[in-house]
Amino acid sequence: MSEAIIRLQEVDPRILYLLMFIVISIPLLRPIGLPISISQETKSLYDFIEKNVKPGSVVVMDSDMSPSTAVECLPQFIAVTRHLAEKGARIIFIASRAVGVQFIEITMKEVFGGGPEHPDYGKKFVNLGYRPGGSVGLRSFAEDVYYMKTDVYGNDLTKLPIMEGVKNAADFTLYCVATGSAVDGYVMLITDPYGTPVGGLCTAVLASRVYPYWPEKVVGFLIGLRGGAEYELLIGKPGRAVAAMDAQSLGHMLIIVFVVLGNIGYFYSSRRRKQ
Amino acid sequence: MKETIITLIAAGMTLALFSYLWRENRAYRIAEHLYIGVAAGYGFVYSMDAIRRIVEKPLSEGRYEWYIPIILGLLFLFYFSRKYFWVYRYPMAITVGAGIGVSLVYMLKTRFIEQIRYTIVPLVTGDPMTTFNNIVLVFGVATALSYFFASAEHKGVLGVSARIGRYVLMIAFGASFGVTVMARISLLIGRLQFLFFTEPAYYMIPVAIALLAYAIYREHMQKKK
Repeated sequence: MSEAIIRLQEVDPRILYLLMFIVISIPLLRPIGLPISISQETKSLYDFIEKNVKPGSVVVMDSDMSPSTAVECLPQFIAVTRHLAEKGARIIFIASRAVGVQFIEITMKEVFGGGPEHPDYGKKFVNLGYRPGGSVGLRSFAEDVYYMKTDVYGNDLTKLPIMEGVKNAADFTLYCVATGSAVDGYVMLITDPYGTPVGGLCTAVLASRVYPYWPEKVVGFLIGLRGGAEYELLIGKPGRAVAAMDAQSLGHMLIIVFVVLGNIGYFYSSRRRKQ
Repeated sequence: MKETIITLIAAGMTLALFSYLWRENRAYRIAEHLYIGVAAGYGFVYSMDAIRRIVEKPLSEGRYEWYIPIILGLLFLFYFSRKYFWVYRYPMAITVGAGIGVSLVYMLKTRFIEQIRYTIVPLVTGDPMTTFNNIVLVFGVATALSYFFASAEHKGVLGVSARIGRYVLMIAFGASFGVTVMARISLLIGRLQFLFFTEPAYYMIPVAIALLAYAIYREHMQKKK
């Protein structure tokens, strides 16, 4: 018995993987419907959009996602875009990394039902595509929105109705960025020089680095898949994030159980060594 | 038909990468190398397209000063030449210099001065929760900073403060670990949602299980021999 307790510290990782696979698969296939509470971070972004985004307001949706971060950020990106579209905002999509462009196309398809062929394309939403140059590129875009010259499909930006009256970042009501790397760079180059607030659509890992800027500069932020689920509930359109929440909760429970078991094994073995 | 083939390839790649959990194998390595290659190609195409969109119009309008950044950009290719590697250093120096120049002023403001400013908060407010949060913030920052104070020996008041600071840091690391676990589980959920609910991706699951079972059986037989 005592040997078994000590061995709790050395569980074969493959057993943990298998258990995790089972624990996550079951609620995905048969949802339990565990309750989801709305965090203040998510609510503050929702409230900001409700209060400040009027029909015709210009909002930038920046896709700084990669395939590894899209699982968390894409449901958030879609939910916020849906909310902005309902509010009648003019949405400028841009990608801060090359692989982010594909997620803009997915979002346009899910929210508007199409891309450049859609009748509202160029009026209510536009896809500027990949913006190269890192912080220098972001600074150039903030200073002159026409720095990219054309959208990703080759349309001249100066001729698109959506760009009417838009010159620089000061004309944006909100700059939302879906990212797994950093939000402070956007605060640095968009909020501080132009006063335009940032909305964070972040991976869970990034959350602790966003708190210092919330709520003064980052008006609200969504944390991981949970943030996406909360936002989907707030706008009354449950989607893929809400569907994943049961699996997320049970996955956490399994990790907690293993952390506790590992600690029992550790304390038991150290006590036996002392004896 | 095209969609079906793409979905099957995506599902196959996902399962091949998952096979690493059993052990490193050829399917995993193929999927890994394909991912790196495809991602690099994808990035290259979009980068080239973005550059074309930025420079095409000014050049067609006869603004030849735009050739300067194009030439500087091309100089990066000397990175691959042993003999002329030094040429690559010039565009690199300009890129680094411009990047720092653009960011420095705001970096100091946003990441340094403002961070300090937001730590200076009232310790007593009308809202008990805000009061509690502010006390935790000030107390946490002060004790964690005292842990890194190296100009005096950690004894007496400083010793107690540094010790508490160490616990504060540990709590912060624990919170970071927690959200990292949350992120990793989300990744798995995303892939499983794709495998379970995308037609015809789920047909690949029994195929993968059968292949894995065969591989384990073969390994077992080889060990027996």
